[in-house]
Amino acid sequence: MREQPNAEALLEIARDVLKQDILPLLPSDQRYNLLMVANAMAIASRQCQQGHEPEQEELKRWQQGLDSDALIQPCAVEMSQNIRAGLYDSPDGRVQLAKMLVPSVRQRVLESNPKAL
Amino acid sequence: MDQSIVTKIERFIGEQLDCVDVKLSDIHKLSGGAIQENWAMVLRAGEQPPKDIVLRCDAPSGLSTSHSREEEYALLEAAFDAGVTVPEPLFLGQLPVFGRSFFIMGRANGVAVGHKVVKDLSLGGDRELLVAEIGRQMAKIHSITPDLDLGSASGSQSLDFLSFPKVSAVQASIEEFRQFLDNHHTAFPALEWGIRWLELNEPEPLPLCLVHRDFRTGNYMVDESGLTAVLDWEFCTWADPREDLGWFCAGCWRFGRGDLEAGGIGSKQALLDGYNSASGLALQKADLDYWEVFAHIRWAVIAIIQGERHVSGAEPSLELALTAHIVPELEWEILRMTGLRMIGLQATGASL
Repeated sequence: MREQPNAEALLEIARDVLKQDILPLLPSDQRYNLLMVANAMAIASRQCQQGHEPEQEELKRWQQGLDSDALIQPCAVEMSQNIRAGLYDSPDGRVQLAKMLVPSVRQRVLESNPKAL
Repeated sequence: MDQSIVTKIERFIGEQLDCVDVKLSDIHKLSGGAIQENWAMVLRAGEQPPKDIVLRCDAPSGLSTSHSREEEYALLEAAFDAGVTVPEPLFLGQLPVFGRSFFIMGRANGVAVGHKVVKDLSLGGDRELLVAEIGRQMAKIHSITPDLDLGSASGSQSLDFLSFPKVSAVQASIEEFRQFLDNHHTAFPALEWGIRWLELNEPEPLPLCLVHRDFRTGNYMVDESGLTAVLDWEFCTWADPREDLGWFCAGCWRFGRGDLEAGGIGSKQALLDGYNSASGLALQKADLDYWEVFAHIRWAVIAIIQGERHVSGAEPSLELALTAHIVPELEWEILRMTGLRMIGLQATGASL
């Protein structure tokens, strides 16, 4: 059993120290660097929080949509090839594609920049 | 900058001006530019008043990903001759002078940093007038066309190095995007969908002209009264003029001011009014929708390429690493603009 606080909580408190205590002391030309560090920690923290479940759900959704038992990357390649071949151009095709894609992209935005949702 | 290099550059400028008394002073490197370096300095030549100049040269790493300095100088000359507000091109240097390609231009004053330009309303003068001026500047760039004989008109360098798309400019870009994705280790189905949408909805092409391809907030300078320079000419090519307008207006280049559709600084209508008045075209706001989707896709592909420079280990950089994380929000916007997001939200309902 791992120690508490876990990775997500550690990143969160470390980020608070950076932004609240260290940022005000920095010269202006270094503030951008620190804000990038804080942003990277926030993304890592959100990925820890989400865990692996979204990826498993994505795989299940894509396998179902493609009627395939392939892994995630081959599924992404097959979907891309289908898109390029025009398989989802029709209104029904678009619904089929949207069901696979929209939740996946939303999940990635949730981790990389939830403000964009 | 090493004194021996300064002496060589002084001698070079002296030869160009036919003047033996040339001195460079106040030399300092300007920030930014991993592939190119920009050095600000003051030029004193004979009895002439001192002149603020910038020397732009390849960085020592010599990475080459865009136009060469010679080509960039030719583009700057063409833009200057067309009346675009750019730093005045002064001298094209030669490799033997100090071992790197370079050119020298006048120095424009002002601020370029995107988020500062957007937030600091003391910059740029009246924002709607600024946006209209940017529209007029774009029209001047687009007045440079492949059939314009630059060489004989003004003694400028030719733009022969710019390649022509074998198909329409859009189809050439689509091929380029797909070629990149085919050779990349990870598939991006949402981007593939965006590219397919571009293919299915391609508008009737306009005649090819010089397109800047990176004219956005962050790449022009303003002072208290208005525009002082259009910067970064390294991605220019022959393409459809609407590409520049779409790139300028794309939501991803508004620096937190999504409500100000033209680069986070003003209205799209003011941009188009300025553009139409100078170009003679009659573009409407709706004409830019397609090109904003195009802009998001192109920026997403560039962001993947930049992220890969870090991921591959070739160039460890936090900034590049974070650029890779911009891709999901660009895809999210592409899904919205192409209608797929709404279909997905309706089809999956409460699960989102």
